[in-house]
Amino acid sequence: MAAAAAEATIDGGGKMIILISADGKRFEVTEAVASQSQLISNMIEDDCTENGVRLPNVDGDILTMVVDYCNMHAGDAAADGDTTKASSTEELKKFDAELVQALENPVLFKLILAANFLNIKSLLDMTCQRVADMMSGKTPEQMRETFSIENDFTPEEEAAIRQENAWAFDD
Amino acid sequence: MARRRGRRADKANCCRAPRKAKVVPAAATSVDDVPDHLLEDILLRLGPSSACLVRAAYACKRWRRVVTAAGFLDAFRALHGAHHHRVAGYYHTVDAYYAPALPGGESSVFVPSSPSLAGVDARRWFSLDFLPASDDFSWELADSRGGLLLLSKKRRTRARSGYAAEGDFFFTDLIVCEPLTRRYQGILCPADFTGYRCIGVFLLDGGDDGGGDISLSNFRVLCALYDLYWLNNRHIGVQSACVFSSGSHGGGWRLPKSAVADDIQLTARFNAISFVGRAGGCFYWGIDDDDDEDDGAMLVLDETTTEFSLVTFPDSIRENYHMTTFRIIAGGDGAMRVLRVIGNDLKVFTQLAGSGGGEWVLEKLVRLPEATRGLPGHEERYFEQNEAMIVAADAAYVLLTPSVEKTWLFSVELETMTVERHHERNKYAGVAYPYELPLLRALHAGGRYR
Repeated sequence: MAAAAAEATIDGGGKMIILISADGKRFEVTEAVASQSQLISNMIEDDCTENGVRLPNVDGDILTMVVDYCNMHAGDAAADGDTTKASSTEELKKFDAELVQALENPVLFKLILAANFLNIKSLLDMTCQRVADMMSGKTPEQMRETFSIENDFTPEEEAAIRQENAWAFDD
Repeated sequence: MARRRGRRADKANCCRAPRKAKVVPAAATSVDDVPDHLLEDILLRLGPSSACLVRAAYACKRWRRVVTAAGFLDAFRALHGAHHHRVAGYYHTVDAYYAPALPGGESSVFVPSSPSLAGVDARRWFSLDFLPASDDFSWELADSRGGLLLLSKKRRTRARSGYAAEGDFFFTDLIVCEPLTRRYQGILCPADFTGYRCIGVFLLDGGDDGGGDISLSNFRVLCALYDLYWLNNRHIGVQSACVFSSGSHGGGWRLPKSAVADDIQLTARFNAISFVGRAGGCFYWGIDDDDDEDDGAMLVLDETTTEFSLVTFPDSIRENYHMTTFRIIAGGDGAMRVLRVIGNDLKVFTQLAGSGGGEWVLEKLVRLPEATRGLPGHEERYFEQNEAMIVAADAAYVLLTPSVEKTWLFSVELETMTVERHHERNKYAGVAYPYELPLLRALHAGGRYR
């Protein structure tokens, strides 16, 4: 897999395919870039990308980010074991960190859903980790505030929870 | 008034559609739109602090449902835990034979051993200062299981010599407690048994009311006793065991018939019996009989049948059964191991599979004089006269000291047989009781449903 992707990139990108977002925006990308999505990679293998790939779950603005991400990371597989690319690994890390940090919650969750739908593991990992990091060190109230969650525990339940788990709520 | 209303309306708008209005449609995507399996993926990343997971579980009912679903905790522990992932820390005790008591008269000190307690004030939450105190007695740790501790009442006046006084062996009142919730249950010594000697008290999982973690409403205490009586002008000890069950229905002490071992007669010397360990649902005591060199044996109590029996080990393993040189542990794989100090070698024996118990073979060995050489404070003479003594042992490590005038603790990691001197656990010369966070129960607090 990795080797095939690398060859395609070295060849000059290989075939191009068209991704079409829910709101009809079209993105032209190389197969190597697109096949970071396991979903699309499977479709390429099955030869059903001729007329463009419709992605009814993904809005154009989210797909823009996904395509940016995939373009940035298309060299990943090729970079394996190649020490001259070490600096670009650093750059990628920086790009990734900036990408997720800047996101507002609704966009972050849309990106998670898109990464899940398109089956791009590294993007899904990164975005899920970002949400976990946002939870970390927060009290339940702060988590509810951060993620706009409704508290559906009764006051009695809350009191019992606090009493029985005082150690975990120590702040 | 009107102005205030206007402001509120603005605020509401701004919450629903922040600056990037064209990116975010009116019904903003939130964590509520993320399917369970992704929410699970996110919550699994919350470690290593268990406190963070517990807090997240109480953000809302959906999050708690995901965290308490079957398999979540196992996955969480597998992801974040090290080798002994369930153990959050150890309550260390100090054996007066080896070292002076802990400062402040405490009978134990809690030392976190896992990052799952990161950010939790261990000194505060694992303290046992909530137990009823008195000038006359203190509570000494006897066993731990899950998130519970078992303690027995000890008079404060102790023999300074270090050797336990005979009084220390009587059956006493007990306490089972849960430090994290600062709750405890006192268990009075049954009147029928006052005057019995107690050779061990152990915490067991609750009765058979179906699974679940051990808790203050679901535990048992197994107490191994022996009673002395005169027979043919000799003091004879007879074993028995009694079991305490928690719960209002059928709870209390009970003396199973099978637990009276009147066919086993033991020495009356109270300090001839030493607890050497547990493995495979059995407890083992070495019996060191001075009267007759060859007469030593191992007393075994099966926790399921509460039956006593005597076993002997092959000569290759035993010289005597004293706890300073002979220990039984459940190894990392759960199978029984015998630890021995022979000629200043620490040896680990394992039993080969075979009907009726196969042959005992040497599994691991470390030469203590050589392995400790170079450790800070080491002196050549430490191992010249006598054999090293085992102070404590569990599945993970053995704590030892040379048999010289002062205690010089070092530990041997059983998996690797590496010898270590600078380790938190080597500061306390006594048994360390592992403590597990009652996580599953913590996650079910305040309205129990699955």
